[in-house]
Amino acid sequence: MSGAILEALDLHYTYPDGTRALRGVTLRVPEGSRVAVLGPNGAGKTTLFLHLNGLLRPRKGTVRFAGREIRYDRKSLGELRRAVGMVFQDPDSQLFCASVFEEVSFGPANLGLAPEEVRRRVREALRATDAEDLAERPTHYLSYGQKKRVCLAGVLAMEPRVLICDEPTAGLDPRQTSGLIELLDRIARRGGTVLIATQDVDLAYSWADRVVVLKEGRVLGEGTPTEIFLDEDLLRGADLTVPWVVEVHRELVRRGLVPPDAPVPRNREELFGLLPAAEAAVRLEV
Amino acid sequence: MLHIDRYAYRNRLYGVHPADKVCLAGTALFVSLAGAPPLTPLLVLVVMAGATVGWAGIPWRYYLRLVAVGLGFLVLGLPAVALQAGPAGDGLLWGVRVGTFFLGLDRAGVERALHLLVKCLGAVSGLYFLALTTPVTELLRVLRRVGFPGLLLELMDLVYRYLFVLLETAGSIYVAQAARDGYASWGRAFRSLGLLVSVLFVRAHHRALALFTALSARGYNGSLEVVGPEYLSSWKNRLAVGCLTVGLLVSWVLTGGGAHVRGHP
Repeated sequence: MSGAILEALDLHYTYPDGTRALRGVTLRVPEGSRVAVLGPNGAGKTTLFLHLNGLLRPRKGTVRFAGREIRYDRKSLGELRRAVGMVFQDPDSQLFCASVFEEVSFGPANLGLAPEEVRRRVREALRATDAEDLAERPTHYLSYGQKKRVCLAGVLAMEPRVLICDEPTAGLDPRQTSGLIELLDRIARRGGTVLIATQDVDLAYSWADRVVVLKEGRVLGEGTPTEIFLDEDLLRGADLTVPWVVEVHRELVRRGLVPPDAPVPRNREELFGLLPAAEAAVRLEV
Repeated sequence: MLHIDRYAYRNRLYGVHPADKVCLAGTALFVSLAGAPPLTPLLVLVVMAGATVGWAGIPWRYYLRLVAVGLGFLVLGLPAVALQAGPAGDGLLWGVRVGTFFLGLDRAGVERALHLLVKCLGAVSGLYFLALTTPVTELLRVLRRVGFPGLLLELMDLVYRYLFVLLETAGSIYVAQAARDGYASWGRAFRSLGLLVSVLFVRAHHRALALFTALSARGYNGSLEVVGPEYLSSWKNRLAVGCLTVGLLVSWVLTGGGAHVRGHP
């Protein structure tokens, strides 16, 4: 399979306490794609991610990076983690340093770069995450949203080829959420590969190129957002709801306000684009 | 404690190079303690209080409160220095008889106590200046530059960072307990507090594990290497700090510092 930067093949993992978190997960992440991994709590999203940058070792199955099976010796892991950056859900478990600047410098400093290059990367990562003004602030006086941005900067400063974010929008207010999505878009547009875990069906539907649905450690479905979110049986089986754009579109089609053969809109803008004709239809009826 | 931390990040001397501030505070400490007559530490106190309140812009009310805290500790310790015990009661300014002994104050003892008091106040004013104007993170950078052992610096940084996480966690557990009447009576309060502490230990352990995972994800290999920003030292600030430092040293020499060590009992 060409073009896949990350692949997981039949991963099985059981935690020491006996929880069977992964029961044969197979996943393919094409280079330059935006992948959303959807699933309820306890579906195994975080466990899967921890495998993708070598933090957990599968009991069975393999992980491949750029076509090669990953190895778990110190040197190979170092190279993998340089290429696959991971942002954790809880910022307080990632931010270890009281100084934002030093926090962000940790990753690049571990790459063995010269201090000048480290500083350049820190400044660039802070700029990319709109966190420049936080550089001189102490970590413990940042708000939750600011902490999340600093976490992201700390990973971006390593300039990874793949960015993995565990629940990047959880706990953020609507404005912060849209800011974060914009940021992930920017990274993806520059050719980066972005993988997120989320429970937000609207986000997964509008943002991702590919959606993977996990439940109880198994992949229930994988495909384009349209394939996944028009499959009602799949959604019901995974305890997921229909994205509002799809729901509204479906209702508009049912009432005959929108032609049924047009492609299903992917986002708010596309949906609104369908509306003027509908308005005219309403006026005619009145 | 938390107020001091806040001021350290929000004072007018925030941009001054931390090494300069350490230098000034160190000089204040040295001049106060290195055997000078009482006048010198008093001078230090005035200069450093002026620098902290007037220059760095720390509210004087808050500063006075801090000084009062230091003073409180000093006053508690002073009687031990000032009081004399001996078989003879003559020569005492004031005294009581305890059995066959006399306990009281003599002139030398009072002088010694007062001298100690001003010495300590002078030294404390130097430390307050540093604590109120220089964030811990910057102090750590200075220590790193002068070759302080890396392991200790990492520990200090982690302790400082996670102190706030721990306080926040403890605070939210406390609120959650209080919301369910966990502190309604003495008995319940003790039980709730015990639970809080034990939960805190468990959470701290989980946090340590999560931190290790997160650090590993960014290539942690046994040492927390970080790179600090570069300081743009302003010549004006450096000059001002330099003048104060030299001024303190000169006043120390002029008031007969150093020589006093031998002259004093």
